[in-house]
Amino acid sequence: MSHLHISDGILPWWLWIGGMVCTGLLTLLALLKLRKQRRLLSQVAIMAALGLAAMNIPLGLPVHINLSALAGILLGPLNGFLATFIMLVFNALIGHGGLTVLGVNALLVGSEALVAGALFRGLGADKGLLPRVAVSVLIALVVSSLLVVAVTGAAGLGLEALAHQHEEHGGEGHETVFLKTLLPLYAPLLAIWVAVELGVSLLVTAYINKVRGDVFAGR
Amino acid sequence: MDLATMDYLAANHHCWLQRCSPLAKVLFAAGVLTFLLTTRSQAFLLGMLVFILGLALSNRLPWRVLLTLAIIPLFFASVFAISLRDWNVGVLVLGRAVVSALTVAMVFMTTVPVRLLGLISVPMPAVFGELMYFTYRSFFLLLESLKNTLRAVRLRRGRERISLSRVRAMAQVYGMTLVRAWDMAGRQYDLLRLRGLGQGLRINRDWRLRPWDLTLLAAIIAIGVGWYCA
Repeated sequence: MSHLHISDGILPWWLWIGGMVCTGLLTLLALLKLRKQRRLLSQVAIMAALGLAAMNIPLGLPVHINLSALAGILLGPLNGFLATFIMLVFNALIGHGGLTVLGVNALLVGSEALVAGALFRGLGADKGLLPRVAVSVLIALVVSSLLVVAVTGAAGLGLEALAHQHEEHGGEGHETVFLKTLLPLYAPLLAIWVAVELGVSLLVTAYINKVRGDVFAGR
Repeated sequence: MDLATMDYLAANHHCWLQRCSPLAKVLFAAGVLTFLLTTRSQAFLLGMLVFILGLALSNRLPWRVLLTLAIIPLFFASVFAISLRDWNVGVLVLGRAVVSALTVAMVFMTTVPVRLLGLISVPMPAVFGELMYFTYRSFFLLLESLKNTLRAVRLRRGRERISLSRVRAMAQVYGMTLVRAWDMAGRQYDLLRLRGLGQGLRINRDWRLRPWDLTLLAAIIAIGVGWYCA
């Protein structure tokens, strides 16, 4: 949800090329690390597949979950990011999110895995599992949402440049009008998504901890 | 969109695009994307939409699948188009989103997945190809399990509105699937290791060009001429 399924042709070139480069470097780093821990390969793939399956199942709401923050917690920040990237590659191949904006989409959704994974480890095991997951996932979702607002603002700038309509809007920049119109459309969806993703992540964690406590042991 | 339907088409549908090489199709899609992103002509975008739909028609790709594919980019691009409050740029945004999504999806629907995954994993280390292959394989196993369990829960609970207990039940299904998948991951890894994963097994990369690629070459030249004239 946090990637808003940004399509090709919406973002300015400098943003999607920059996104591609950053994502490429992060992915390369994660792959080099994974090469030394090959046994984790199956877990990364399984998490990517589960996220993809979760995205493919409608919730009866205009949002879907992606479990990226949970991937970061279970696999670590870099491997969680890698699982998210793989998930988005498949999504782009079936037309959910553009191919050129794959880098930006991966940074938006992958930031959930990076932030949640790093925070979860940083908070220390003495805090209790559920509070740690709650804080990590909530902050990760907020960071991701802020990044989405920043990217949509940049998209507004790019589209404004395309329209060459600065003058027609007087002192108010076109991107301000763009964000003013987009945010009321997006904010309710964002609020629903944050609540659902946080709730599902907590409930899934509680369930896993109850039936297979060893999954979180040592994390 | 149902990835399983597209996978079925990729493996079983017979059409002339299937006879083109994966490399030519990826280059064709890259060319189309370049023209789409650099045009400001609505007439060109309309022409491209007609062209891509014609391509789908000549390959007998199912309309239902194409329509479903077009809805998602159309909906999300329209959020941007409406927010922009500019009809001309709005049409450009919608056109680019729909035509590019259909082009990429059409390549996916007409190429055997392993070959396509092998090709797009070229710039990355070999472990990336293995990861893509493993994810794709696991996706179908998990989706089936997830769908069946969710259906069973729905049948048992009956019709009910969105409630906390329904969300909890759904989350438990995800949790259960994840636990199963976690166990499955180890077994799958051992199985694939036996079959050569990470020990010299190479993802099949098909670089050969085929006679049917000339059709795509002609198509991209025609699109380029249209782009130049527009």
